[in-house]
Amino acid sequence: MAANISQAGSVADGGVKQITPAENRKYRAAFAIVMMSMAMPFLTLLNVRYILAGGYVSPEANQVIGLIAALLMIISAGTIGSAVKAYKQGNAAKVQRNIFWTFGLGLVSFVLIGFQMVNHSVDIVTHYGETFVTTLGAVDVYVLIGLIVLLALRSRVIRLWGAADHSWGMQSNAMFWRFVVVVWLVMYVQLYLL
Amino acid sequence: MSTVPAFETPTGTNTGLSKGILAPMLRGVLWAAVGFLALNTLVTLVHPNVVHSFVTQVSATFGWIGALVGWMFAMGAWDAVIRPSFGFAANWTERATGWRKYFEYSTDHKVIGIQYLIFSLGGFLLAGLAAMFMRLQLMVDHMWFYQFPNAYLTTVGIHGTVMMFSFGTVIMVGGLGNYFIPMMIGSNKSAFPRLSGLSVWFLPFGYMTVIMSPLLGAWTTGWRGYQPLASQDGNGIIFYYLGVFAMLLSSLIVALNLTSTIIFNRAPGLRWSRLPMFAWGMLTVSILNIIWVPEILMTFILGLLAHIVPLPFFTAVGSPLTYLELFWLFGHPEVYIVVVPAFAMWQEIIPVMSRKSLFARQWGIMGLIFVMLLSGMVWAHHMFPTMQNKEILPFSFFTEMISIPTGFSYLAILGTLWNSKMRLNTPSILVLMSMFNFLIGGLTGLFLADPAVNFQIHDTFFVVGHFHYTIIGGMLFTFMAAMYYWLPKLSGRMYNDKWGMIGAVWVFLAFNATFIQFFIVGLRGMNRWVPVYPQYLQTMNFEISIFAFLLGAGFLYNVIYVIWVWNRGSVVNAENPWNGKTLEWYTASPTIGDNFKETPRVVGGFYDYGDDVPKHVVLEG
Repeated sequence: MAANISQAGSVADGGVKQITPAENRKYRAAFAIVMMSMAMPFLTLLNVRYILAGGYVSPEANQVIGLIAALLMIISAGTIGSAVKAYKQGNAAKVQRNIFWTFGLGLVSFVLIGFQMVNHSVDIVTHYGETFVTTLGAVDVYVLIGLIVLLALRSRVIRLWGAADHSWGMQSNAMFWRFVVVVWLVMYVQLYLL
Repeated sequence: MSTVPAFETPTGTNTGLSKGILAPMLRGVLWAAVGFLALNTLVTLVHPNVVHSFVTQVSATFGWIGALVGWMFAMGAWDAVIRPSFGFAANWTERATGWRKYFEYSTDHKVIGIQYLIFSLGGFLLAGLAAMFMRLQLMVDHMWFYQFPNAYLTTVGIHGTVMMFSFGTVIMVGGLGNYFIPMMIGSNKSAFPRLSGLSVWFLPFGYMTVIMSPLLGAWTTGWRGYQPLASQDGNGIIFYYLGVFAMLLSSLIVALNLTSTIIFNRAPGLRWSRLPMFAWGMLTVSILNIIWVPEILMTFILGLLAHIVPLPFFTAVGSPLTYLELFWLFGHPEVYIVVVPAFAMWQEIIPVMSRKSLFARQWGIMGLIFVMLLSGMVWAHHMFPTMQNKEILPFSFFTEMISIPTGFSYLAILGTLWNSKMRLNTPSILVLMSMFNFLIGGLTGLFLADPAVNFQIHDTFFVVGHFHYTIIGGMLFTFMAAMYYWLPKLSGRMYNDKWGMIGAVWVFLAFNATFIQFFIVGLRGMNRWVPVYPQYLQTMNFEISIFAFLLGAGFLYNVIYVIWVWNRGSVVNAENPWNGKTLEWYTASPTIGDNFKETPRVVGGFYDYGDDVPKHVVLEG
């Protein structure tokens, strides 16, 4: 007998344990707390950026690369959502395809963001430059974690399709990836535009 | 095929990484060494410095990351977390019995709690040894035990850093919190058991990094890692930033786990209005951790980059004060993360020992919450000498005000003690000692919050006395009380109260004899962070050191006695020797496997005592 509701769960056809709607709500709320925590480093970086460099944007910051990375991330936020929808419809091929596209778009963004960090057309020994390169690095770390987690999700879905309930795995991945997209968009706006 | 680790059966064996001739922790050290060498070598090849040395600032940083990955993989991350995440079978079996389970990966919150207790205590003893070295040096007014001042200052930094980040914020939250919170809320497990199982292994890695920091060079900043001072030092500061990063990751995961467990895993009937006081303490502290630990993690990254790139964030052309602001934004909530569990624990133990309803329980809860809220509004009182008067005054105001919700805890206890028939045993005496000590620490804080007084005693031993009274006097004494209170539950054995009392009185007398003099010697002109001082202070420093050695011996006595009781003490003759009402007392002593075979349903409060109080828990089969 489960000692609390979080251990309950219904068993669907084929004996695969499904999470209940109540459990799903709890998982989403708990993960929201985790994401709130993960946003704090970027609040710190925003703080430091405006203390040290005010609203200055260097003309040497590559606007084209920044914009392309932002657009690719926005598209990837859509493809991960399509993956979640495809899972609910039971379409394994579409799930894999959409995860693949999300990973691919994310990987290109990762490279573009990293390129600016390594190439740094902006002089990093300036107030703007040091916050520029640090922010790009922090975002890229989160994107890298998101990519690894996407790879894990795809692998798990392929290996265990039908043998386990992946609904929470799909949702949490989508939540985290979209969180990373929002973080990049906010950082992009304050680094390149404001 | 299961991606969830199995539990040991009589015929089950570990087939994953845990199988092998090496014990897991030794394997972890080996993999950490391999990881360090691999990444350090790679970075040195790609990014050499001008003298082409094998270890550079940048390579040591990346090497440390490789070491951390190697350590965590060997300790169970690979077999129990990463492989199952990719859909491979979890070829890992957790031990259910035996002492070895405490030295390998586990998802059982009780095992994780004890792991935290073990490692945190290890950090305490190592940092305590550092303190003994410091007091040895300070016995005379010139250099003798240390040859160079920077060596002494590095020891000061190691002492403070390991004490704060591996003991102060960890032992009650990570240790007792992980063990007891799921039980106290009527659950069989915590919200994130796999993540929690990983989190504990960051802790010894983190504090060993800090302890090994002298290998890279001296650092003189103390536990704060101040920039730009750190960048004028040698390279030991790199391992300070990285080691503390690892320890704080551990604390962050604990906080996320405990918050989610308390919010989402409560037993039926356990409404917010019935939540145990210790759970309120853990919740408020965990919220502080969730908000501020990521902030300081980013700050330490900035400090590290300022040192190794280097970047001018905090130099004269940057903003030196920004580091202080960023640090203390975390640093003040940090000290409340240390002491709020103690306030909650007082309100847990005293009603049980006095057999009287907790007085003004809601005010006690509001006290914990308002301390949590105000703790984020007082940080700059650590920086008064760097500020203008008009900036100082709001912080002085809020610092004085935070004593009011702190006082709610005192008033709740005083009201509970009033007209009670309290049992004066080791746990209750230790709580009273803690309250006495914290009162002194708190009152001296009122002086320090006053700007005019602060300017006179900032950076003197008066401050050191203040925070040792609040932290040791408040938190450590309460931790000892909690250990003696919960020892029958943890170990299934009972201690002899006479020997427990001897340990309590020994530590109390030695502690007060040592630290009350810190106020005096500070007012007489003894500065912080100095290995040498004017000759007129030597007599007092000499006998402070003698009392400090007695205090160290007293702590050792208590540690050895508790461990002895755990292994050899007389078996407890009742599951609930204190007749406590909280849910952990409804479990076996000690509990192996599931906490509750039957679901508890809470139907009343835990802190109401009296002849006509109805049953508060029903066990449903």
